[in-house]
Amino acid sequence: MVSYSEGTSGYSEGTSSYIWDLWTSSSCDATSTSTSDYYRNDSTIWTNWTSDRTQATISYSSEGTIWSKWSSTYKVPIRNSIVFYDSAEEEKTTEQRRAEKAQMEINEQWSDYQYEEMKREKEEAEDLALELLSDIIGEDQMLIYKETGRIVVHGQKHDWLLRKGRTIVKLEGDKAIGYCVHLRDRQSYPETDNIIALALHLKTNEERLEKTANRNYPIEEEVVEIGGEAKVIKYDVLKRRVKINYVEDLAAASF
Amino acid sequence: MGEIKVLTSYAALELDKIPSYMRRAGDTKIIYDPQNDDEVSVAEDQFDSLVKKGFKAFKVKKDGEAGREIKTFKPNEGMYILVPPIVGG
Repeated sequence: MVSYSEGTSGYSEGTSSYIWDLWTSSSCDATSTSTSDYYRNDSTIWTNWTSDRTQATISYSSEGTIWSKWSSTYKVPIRNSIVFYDSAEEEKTTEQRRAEKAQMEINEQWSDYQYEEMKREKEEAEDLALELLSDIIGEDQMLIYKETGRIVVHGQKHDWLLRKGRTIVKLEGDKAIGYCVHLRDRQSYPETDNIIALALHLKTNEERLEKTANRNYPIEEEVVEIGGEAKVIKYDVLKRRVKINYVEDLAAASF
Repeated sequence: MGEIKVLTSYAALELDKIPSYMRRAGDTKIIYDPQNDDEVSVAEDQFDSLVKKGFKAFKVKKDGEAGREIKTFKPNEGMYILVPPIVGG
């Protein structure tokens, strides 16, 4: 409604002031001549603003609005505070406001619907990926994957731990080394598609995958959320085993 | 029946030649009858087109047995999985 506001306190007749400058500048659609004319012929505006109305504040919604209003009907009562509303808003009917509100609600509902649809499509896509992974690795390994988001893959030379949404881990000698490699434009695919792709590469061309990947750092353990609980996975590479809380053995479920 | 499963992005931009009803995020199935030359030809075109875009084709045995990478389309091989390119992170 209001874009600008400026007080006139302390301004005096004939003295240049911010508001007066604005009023007489070309951007406000008023000329010094027309302003002077108003002053000479009918001093209502200026006099009121600069004499007894020393604490007056003017607010205006856009350049030109005040001057247009004042110059056409400058006998409008002057108050200590005058607020001009945006003319476009002022003209809105109750029905228009109601329609705008209804439109906003519709937009909001549409946005929610689109979000839910996107979420549903992603879930369906992930389900398809899980189905395909299950076809490839079998049901036993799939249970482990569903619970931990991890599978162990016997590559052509090494064992690898594939972790959903994370770097993969190569069991190399007595170390577990993280490697960063994934589908190009990974975020556009279900997470499990990434696992499928990496598993297939490892099974058929481990060397090429290793050359593509960026080698990171050794990993000794990590915290994983399993069934709503945070558990620690220990990489016991000397025994070629990956253990969850020392109880569950991921290596037993590998392919 | 022969089948090509293509890991498909949500946008599925890579698969513009595949009819929209066959396209969805997750995997896209291209099913063809190996005895039908027209269907085989369409499947082969799609296979070649994706391989040219950097997809790798794999023939996979069930339950984790080692599969192999395929360079050339053979209609009687059963199911292929086509995987988009991978990159270092």
